[in-house]
Amino acid sequence: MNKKIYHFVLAGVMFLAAFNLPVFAFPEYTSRQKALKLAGVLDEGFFRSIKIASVFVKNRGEDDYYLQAILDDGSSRKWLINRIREWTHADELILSKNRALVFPSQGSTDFGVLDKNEFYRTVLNATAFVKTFGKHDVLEGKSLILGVRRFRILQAGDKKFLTTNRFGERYRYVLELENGSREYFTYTDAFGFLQRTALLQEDPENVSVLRKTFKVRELKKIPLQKEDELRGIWRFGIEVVFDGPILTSPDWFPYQVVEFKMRDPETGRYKAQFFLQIIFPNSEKIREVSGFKNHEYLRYVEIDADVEHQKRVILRAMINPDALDLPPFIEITDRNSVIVNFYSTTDQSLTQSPDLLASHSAGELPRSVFTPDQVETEFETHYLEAVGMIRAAQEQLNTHLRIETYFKALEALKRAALSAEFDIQIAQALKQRDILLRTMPKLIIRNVQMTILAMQLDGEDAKPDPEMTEILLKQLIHAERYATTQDQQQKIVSLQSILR
Amino acid sequence: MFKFFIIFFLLFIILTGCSTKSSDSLSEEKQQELEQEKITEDLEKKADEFPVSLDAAATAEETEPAPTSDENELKAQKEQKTPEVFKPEQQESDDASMIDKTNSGHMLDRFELIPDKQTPFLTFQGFFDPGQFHHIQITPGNSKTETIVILPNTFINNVLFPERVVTSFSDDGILEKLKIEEKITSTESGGIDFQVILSISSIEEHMLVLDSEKSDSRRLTFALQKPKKKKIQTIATKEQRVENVVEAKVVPPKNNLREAMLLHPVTALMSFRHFDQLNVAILNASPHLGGAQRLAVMLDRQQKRMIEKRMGMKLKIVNISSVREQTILPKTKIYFHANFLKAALILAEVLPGEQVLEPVPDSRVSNLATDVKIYVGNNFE
Repeated sequence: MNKKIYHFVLAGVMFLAAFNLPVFAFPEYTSRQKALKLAGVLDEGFFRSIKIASVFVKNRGEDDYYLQAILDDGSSRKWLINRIREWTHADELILSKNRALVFPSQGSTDFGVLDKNEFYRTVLNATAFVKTFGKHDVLEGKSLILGVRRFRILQAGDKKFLTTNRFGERYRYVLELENGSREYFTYTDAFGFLQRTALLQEDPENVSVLRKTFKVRELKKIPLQKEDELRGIWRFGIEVVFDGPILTSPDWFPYQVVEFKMRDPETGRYKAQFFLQIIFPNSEKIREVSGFKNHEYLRYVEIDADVEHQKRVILRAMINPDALDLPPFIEITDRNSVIVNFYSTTDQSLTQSPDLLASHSAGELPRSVFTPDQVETEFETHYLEAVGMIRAAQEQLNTHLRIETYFKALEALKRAALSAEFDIQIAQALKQRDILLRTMPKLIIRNVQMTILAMQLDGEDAKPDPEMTEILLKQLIHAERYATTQDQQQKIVSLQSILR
Repeated sequence: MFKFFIIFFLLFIILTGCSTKSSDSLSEEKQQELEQEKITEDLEKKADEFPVSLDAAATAEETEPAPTSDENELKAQKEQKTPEVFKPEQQESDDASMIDKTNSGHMLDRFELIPDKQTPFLTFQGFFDPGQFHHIQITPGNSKTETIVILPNTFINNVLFPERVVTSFSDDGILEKLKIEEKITSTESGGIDFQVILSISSIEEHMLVLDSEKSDSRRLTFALQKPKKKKIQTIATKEQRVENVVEAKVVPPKNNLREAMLLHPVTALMSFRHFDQLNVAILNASPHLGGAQRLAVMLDRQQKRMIEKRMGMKLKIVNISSVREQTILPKTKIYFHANFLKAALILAEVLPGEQVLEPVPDSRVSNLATDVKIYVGNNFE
């Protein structure tokens, strides 16, 4: 019994002690090389207003180094790296020559030194700021170049004065931008800006500097239309009209799907609802913009200001996750608008890529038929040519020309198949060929029918063009070879007899 | 029973002592004050000897009074391992940054100058770690036409790239001279520090900018931008200035044909492979310990068959861990690679709580072994 109590008490004490420790602890020790450099940096600095006379490097084990500081008041102190970091955050440790010590990576003892004077000179001369969005932002890794209005050091009365970010670092400066947004930043941020040349003294030539926000004017419906006749894919869209030209590329408008649990008014139970959101950075909604209740598979389409981020608007629509087979695609028009295209498919088997045993590998293989290196192979050249022709053909209103382009695409696909190096490549080329071959008889029959009808409408005396007749007969021979139904075969025979 | 109480009390004292190591507690302050008082006298005598050398450091160490439990441990180790005490050399340079260079790096195989009237590109081919691109330093050289680029953690492939000074550029091109220097030094800790320094001289003044869109694991591209002419100061109002900018032509980043094809959902359909297995990584981005583990158990044991049936793919959890950075996400986030939107939606429907689904950001697409990454957020219970 006593043994049990002992174990119970021991476990309790250990739990309490563990509870006291932070989950994400900053390292206390560093490498020898870093410790040596850090000691050099701290020399002549101030610790709690006492001048640092000298700093030494000491070690605990083979790889665990820390610092020993001697202050001007004669005291000697053991300085662990995590404590040094904390003191820099609280301004208890100040470097000489108006510099600041920063630890840019959380959880690593890598450090940097911010020369504040250099930073001030750079920021005061800056006309543009390259804003790079951080981790887990929907715009992660993307950069916008924004015009700079004013730089200020935070003072009492400012919004974030003496407040800290999630790492405990104090906000020091604010950069007011011409689009109306404000960037509050710490010494570490300032160090990062200098490192990645985020403060530009002159506007770059190839990218526009955004000096004002895009203001939303209205939303328009783009009706349903056929996108791909070969695969039965349809497209519809929402056009977001702004007050001026959109000076960014389409990939600056990312999308996300957000799930909300909403209470069903009838049953009272929580039900998951999915909303598709398109994010427009550097944008504003300054007046009421009416949305739509329904547009194809979208429900409650509306545009709203993002409450969490400055100068962002969100185009939001409720969707049925089962209907969302393909992601949305953004297009920028020359009429001050952005079109968000949505797709729906009728035959989902067509959207499946070939299922080959050879491609069943859990290894780090690229998910596309293209090779991972950027060098374009012979297969890729022909395959891209074929895909380009298939897409171009579908935009062709003249059916005859469209069929002719499909014939050229078939040739390109054959060349691609002949130059394929992997099973998946040849399988994909043959699949595209088969999709074309399946659709072409129907198209050819319709084209010949329409041509004959047009000739008949021209009058009974009108003689058919022999060249055209020959082409149509060739098309019919092709259609006859790949016709899949009895009905098609009969129609082809009938049309051949008429033409002959 | 009394014995156990004593053990409990002693344990509590030891553990409390340990936990104060990382907190700025009052007891430590008092101890330091005592230390100061005791050693001030000794150090005053030696004050003339500053700046202190190795001997002085040893003296200072000797003068440290009343060691804490930590320091006792330290001294015990000192006796066994003869710890080192160093006085670093004064750092003249302000560039005292120490970035961890031990993980991976770059290898330069060859270079190419892509001519363009507006913006020529200087591309290095080889093997690169895009995660380290932000460590690349671009600084102005001795003259206006010279730029120095420091590529940390970089080697040169001497077989493919034997030249160290290249001057054979076309007369009408922008570059005049390219000097490549490989620096490999052994560090005191026994490691190797390696970097490549590029000294790029151009005919005219230019600005060298790392083009991250044209850089990836196989190439590193710099754009050679012409410096813009200084603006002529006019009395133009701010509004007028803004209008001028709006009229400027936008040059969106050029995508090659392959990228354009993969970007469009319909053409992308024609190029994806089919896999019979969905590789999922689960990372804990919540303050609750074991969040990723619990989610993995839930997916693997309770819902696996249903998910596999709906997706038409096997579900394989390839990684369970927690995020490195101190990130706590309010909602569970599902990142998916292109062509896995449907699978991610099915996972979101199955998972409890509210989820956010996003395509993997371009800056992180290099990891192809995982199709879907789930960051378990604070809302997962």
